[in-house]
Amino acid sequence: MIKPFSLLLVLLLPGFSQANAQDTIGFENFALPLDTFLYQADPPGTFVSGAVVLPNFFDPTYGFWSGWSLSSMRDTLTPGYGNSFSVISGEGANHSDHYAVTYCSPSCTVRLGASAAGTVILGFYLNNTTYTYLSMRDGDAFAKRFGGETGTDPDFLSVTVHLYRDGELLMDSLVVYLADFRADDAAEDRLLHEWTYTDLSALGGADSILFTMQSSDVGIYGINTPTYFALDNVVVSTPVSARHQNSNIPLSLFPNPARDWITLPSGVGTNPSYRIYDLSGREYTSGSTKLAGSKLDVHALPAGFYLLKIESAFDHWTGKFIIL
Amino acid sequence: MNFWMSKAYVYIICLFQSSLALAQDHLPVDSALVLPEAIVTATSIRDPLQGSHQEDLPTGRGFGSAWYSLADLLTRHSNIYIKSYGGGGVATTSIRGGSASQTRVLWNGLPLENPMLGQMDFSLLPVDIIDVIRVRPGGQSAGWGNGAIAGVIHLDNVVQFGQKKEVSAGLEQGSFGWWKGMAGIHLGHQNWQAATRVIYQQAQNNFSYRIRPDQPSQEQAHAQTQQVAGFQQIHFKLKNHQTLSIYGWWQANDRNIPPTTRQNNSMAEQADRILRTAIHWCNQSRNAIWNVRAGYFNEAMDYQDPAAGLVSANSFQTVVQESSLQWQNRPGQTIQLGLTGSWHHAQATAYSGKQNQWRLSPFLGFLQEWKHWVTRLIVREEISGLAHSTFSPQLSVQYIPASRIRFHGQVSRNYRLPTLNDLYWQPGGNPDLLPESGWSYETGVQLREMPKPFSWSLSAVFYSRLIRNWILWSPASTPQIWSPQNISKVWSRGVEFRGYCGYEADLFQITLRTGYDYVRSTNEIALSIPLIAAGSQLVYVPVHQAFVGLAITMQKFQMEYRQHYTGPVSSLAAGQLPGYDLGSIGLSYRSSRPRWRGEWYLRVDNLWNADYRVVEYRPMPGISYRLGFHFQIINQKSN
Repeated sequence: MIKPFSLLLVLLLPGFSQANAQDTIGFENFALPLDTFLYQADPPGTFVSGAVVLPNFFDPTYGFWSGWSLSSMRDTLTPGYGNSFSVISGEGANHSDHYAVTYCSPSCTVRLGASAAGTVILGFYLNNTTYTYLSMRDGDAFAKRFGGETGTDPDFLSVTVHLYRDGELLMDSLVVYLADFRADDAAEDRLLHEWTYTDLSALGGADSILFTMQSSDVGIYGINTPTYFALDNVVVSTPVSARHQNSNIPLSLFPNPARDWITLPSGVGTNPSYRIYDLSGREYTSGSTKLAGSKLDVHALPAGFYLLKIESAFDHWTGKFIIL
Repeated sequence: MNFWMSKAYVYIICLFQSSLALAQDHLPVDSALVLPEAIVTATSIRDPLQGSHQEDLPTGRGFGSAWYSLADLLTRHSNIYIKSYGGGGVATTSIRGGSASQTRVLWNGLPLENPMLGQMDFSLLPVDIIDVIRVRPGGQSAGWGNGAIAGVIHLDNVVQFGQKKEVSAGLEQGSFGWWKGMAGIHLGHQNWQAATRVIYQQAQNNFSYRIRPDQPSQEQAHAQTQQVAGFQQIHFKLKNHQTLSIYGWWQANDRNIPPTTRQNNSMAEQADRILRTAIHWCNQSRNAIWNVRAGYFNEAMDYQDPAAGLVSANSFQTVVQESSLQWQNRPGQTIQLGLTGSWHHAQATAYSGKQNQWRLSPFLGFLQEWKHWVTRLIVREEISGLAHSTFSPQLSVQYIPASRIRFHGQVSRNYRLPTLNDLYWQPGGNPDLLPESGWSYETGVQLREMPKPFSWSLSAVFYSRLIRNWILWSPASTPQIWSPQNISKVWSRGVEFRGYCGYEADLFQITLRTGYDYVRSTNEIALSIPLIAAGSQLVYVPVHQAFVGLAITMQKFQMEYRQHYTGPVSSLAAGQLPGYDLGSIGLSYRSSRPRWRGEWYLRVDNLWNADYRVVEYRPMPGISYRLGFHFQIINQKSN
């Protein structure tokens, strides 16, 4: 029988670890001033942010793009195709500056980089673009106002998330509604205007994702609704083994054992995220806070052995502690 | 005898490439309505033979021009299907199941349609500028060239030489903020004629409509239209049988594009600026007619939709000429030889620079008459930079076993070249497109009795047309880039019935006309985008259309009533639009003195206030009226 604390040690051993670290990819690594967008990847073909790869095609002859673009646009008022790079919330998920926008016709993909073997996508945030949102709210010359002429049409705009793992399309898929007017009660009609998290962890995650869009507003030329949506904060789970060996820095915590709080040493960065796991590897809590030199409140944790992981953009620290 | 038939010497400016001398009894002289003497006798070797369903629509001034636009006149007075986007909105034609680009529109013999789009917006054409509209259904590419697959609409101006001074003016007011004012001056001499017309019209188009009977009434917004137009024609009689005519036509249209019924509001607007000039020289001898005509057209369109961030500005210039010689080789035998040439220059936001295209098409016609038979063969080949053959023969036969009955038949190959947008729009333009082309077959029979006071006629026409390489825009290399492709094949076939009876007495004249059209126009190839099933009817092509019209003229009064049924059509997104039945009535009262003529008139459209739509999500107005007055002050000497 392996003792609990021995198991924790095993989890911490580089090269033999079964625990996964989580990264959140928010596309903040691109030099993108506010209220601008980037629809031409350099080098051509893909935008790469952490482990996440977003395909991009740009035609320099006509200035035409497809696939994904990156944006920091904040225009939530201007309708029409000319404002197709803005998200309706006016900012990225969790108040970030950057996010990705896709013209998903008829499909679009998100995948992981070749160097991210073993990494899986656990979830992501979706939202409507301003163009699509206002088109559905007000109608335009080509697409209907959702609800239709009488306001009672059971309209919807959805994104179906198809999962791939090891090159195989999984049977399971998820449907995310960017607009849902199907309820009998018009008060329940909903146009998504806030970043909404889609959790794939129950399905075991994926190493690439295929998005397809569906709308109730279709004609013989296909979907009339603008098939754009915005994506941000892709959460990936990276095996510890896959991470940079030197980045896993042991962490000394004080007091240890602890009862209500623990003090973190300086040197872990200014705004790292943290996660606390128990011996079984189950995540107890997580967050993002100014940890350096500050106290972390742990009084709500039951007595037992715990692992604290702190992550910054380039390094992560791990330390164990005991709650009495 | 009304003033149209006055004793004034009627002279035609060789308008229809024929002459009184060459006018034959067997040639097409059908006239659907009472027309000036000048027009009735005008024929062309290239016109369809008698028995085919031709409509001549007089416009004139006053009551005759009391229409919003040419689209409105064609909707009310012909059986052509007009696809109208509502009051002041775009209006295009579909003849015998063809597309809007398959109708050739000619102004005094010169093609008018936009070379970028290949079609004409009939809502922009003011009726007051045109004297006679001749509708000629059926394939006529051999006679009239590119685009004459489904039919030809001739817009003609006519003049009568003689001593004349005339000032005219009119004012019209109607529902939904409609105002129209026109003024004209005509000065004439034995050897020259000059006529000027100016027209101003505007409308709010703020009619009310309901989505459903149980829904509250809504008012159409952002649908104002305004049009200013000026027209000048000058004709010189150079010699006894030689004339020179010069035409100038300028107009400015501004219109707001209203929202659809699924749209909260619209900020879209469109401005059109049009200049058309033409010159026509004609020499007529005893057995031959020379015609040389040329035109310069300059049109610009500016479309903006600030709400959608769309801006589209484009313009084109066209130089076109046609020269022809028609002569009577021997009794009963007529030959025509001609050459049509055009040069198009276009600029558009979506073109990579400016685009040019030239076209040259020689044609040859041969007509032979016997006692009971008429045969005609016309061939044309259009040469352009596209290097595709458009050889178009047309063989027509007419058999008249007795004066009461006539049969006709026609076989023709017809074509339509790709438009400049099809070829050069970026992204997507496809320079490798082939022309749409195919064979058309038509046969018909007409029975008639034309003695006065009672006259009648019955006729039926059957036709079939298979057009290959039908051009549709669809996703090409990537889903985001659409490109025109020769991906479809369309089979149009149908039958048209027409009936007429008239009674003419000393005090009154009454005519009754009726007609029914059955059109099956089906895609023969299944497509995924656009989603089209093999055998499905083309969108916005009704299978059934019918009309009945009654006209009564009693001394100074005139009344006409018309009921028109249009069957259901399939649309792009809404599935099927229901059919509709529209009634319209017109009343006029004319009074005249030696030096002036006046006319009061009233038209009421959609008399039974039908709720209908021609295009999905575009409401149409309910009952509406136009009340007008027109007068002429005339100083004329008869010849």
